[in-house]
Amino acid sequence: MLDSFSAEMNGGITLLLGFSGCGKSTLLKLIAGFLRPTAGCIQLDGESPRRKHLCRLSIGFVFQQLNLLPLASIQQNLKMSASLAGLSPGEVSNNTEKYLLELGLESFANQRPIELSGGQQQRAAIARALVKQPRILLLDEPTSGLDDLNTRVIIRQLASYADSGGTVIIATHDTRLQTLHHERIDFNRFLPVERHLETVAD
Amino acid sequence: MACFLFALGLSLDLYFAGSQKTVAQQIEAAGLGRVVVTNFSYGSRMPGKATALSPLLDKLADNGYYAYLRRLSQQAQVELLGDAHVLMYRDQDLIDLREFFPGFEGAGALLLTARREFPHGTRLNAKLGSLEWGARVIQTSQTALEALGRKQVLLLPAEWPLPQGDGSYIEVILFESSARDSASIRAQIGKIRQLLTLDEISTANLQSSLPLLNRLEAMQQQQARWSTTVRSIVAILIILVFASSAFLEYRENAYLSALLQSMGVPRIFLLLRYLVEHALLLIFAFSLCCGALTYLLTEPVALPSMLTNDLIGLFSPLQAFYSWLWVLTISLALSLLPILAGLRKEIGRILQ
Repeated sequence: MLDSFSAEMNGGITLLLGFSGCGKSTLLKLIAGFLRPTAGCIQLDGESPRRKHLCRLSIGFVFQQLNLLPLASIQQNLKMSASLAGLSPGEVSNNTEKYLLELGLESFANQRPIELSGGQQQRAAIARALVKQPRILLLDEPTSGLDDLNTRVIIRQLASYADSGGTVIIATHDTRLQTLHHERIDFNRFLPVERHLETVAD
Repeated sequence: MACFLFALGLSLDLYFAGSQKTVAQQIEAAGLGRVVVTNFSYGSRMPGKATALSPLLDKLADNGYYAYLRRLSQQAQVELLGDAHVLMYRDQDLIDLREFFPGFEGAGALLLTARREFPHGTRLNAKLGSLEWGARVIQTSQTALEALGRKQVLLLPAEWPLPQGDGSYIEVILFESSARDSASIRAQIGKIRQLLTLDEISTANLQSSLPLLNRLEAMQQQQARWSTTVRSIVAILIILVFASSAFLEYRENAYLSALLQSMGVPRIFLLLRYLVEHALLLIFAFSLCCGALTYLLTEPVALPSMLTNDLIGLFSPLQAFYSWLWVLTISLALSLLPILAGLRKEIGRILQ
């Protein structure tokens, strides 16, 4: 699906734009080490990671299908993500509270994902990815099916994260991510992935 | 569904067991090896004289014991009881008659009855034509009387003079086979039939427990068919349920492992976690099995002692320990195969 692709990303927000099935999600999974490339390599900090699990500690991934733990509360989902990333108990608590608050989930902290709306679940998935303080944040269709309000909340959060020095890569075909320039999103790169990846603007 | 079928199977088993018990009780009451041969005759009423069934009597002696009686066509009138069949017995059959009729004792005129209002040994007057006797009551069961007629029976010694009547009578042979299994009894009944055919005694009638035995066997076969069918369906359902739950668990494990790996949990850690979990589960299951086995071996009700001794003698404790250790290790390894398969799968192919 993904062929002859080469890119370098150094901080900021990168949008992977294209229609469904053109390989955006595959690229994100390759970056995260969730898929093995049949050829070529993925380098982080100029090196191919030898231990993928260590590399994954510094990557936050928001799946298209969210993949929140269904039997755990939102707070537990966040705490588990932060704990597995090796944060101290204090950091775990602080970060959990911080992102629950910033993403407007504080009143749903003790609810399970199934009890939340789609937008709330989406925000919870992003909070779970952010709470571990990753260096790279990968998001697969983070705003699909969301209303403008939820989309703005998410964009604002991502912009804030990128401003603080994080690298954000978003695979999307949502045109709102382009049109909402005033939300301080830095679209600093557009990746032409093969022939499929075309900007909606084009 | 499995529970429903299990309950259905159990109900069928109970139904068949109940029905079979009823038939078995009927067989027991009638006597498993009891055969009654009756034959209508005409001529001398003296039992000592040659009869149509004489050749049969000679052959029966080798296979059990029997009593030979003759039932008259006339009926006696018994005081307070009314009609009674009149049967003549030979002195030589007195001992065997005691076997057929519990409580039978003495000689002379005897009245066999199942009615309880006349105590054992009571004397009642019985009349047959112009003749009259004082008959001693012998209480017996209704089942025992069935072979001779449904009502009370007046037994008279063969030597006693009787009214001439029309000269007709019914020969009755009560035969109790010494065989105790249905196959031998079936063979003996077949032999009796064959003898009757060979002697051309077409008027003879044969009563035995054979129809009941056939019914019991038919019920057992029917039960076996039903049981096999229901158990097969239950087994298939259990296999389906377990297979689908195992598949779902495999998928769930694979999903959870992939999710945890995506958060940075090393694969080896997950494998160790499953290893510990499965080992604990296996040890728990193994302990339960050991408990059940110990119960079976130590409870004399559960298994015959000969069998338990054989089982105990099979292994020394150390051999048993090593054998079970192997079983546990192999089970553990097998249980980890789907986990390994799940862990080998790329995360990106599981999580979307």
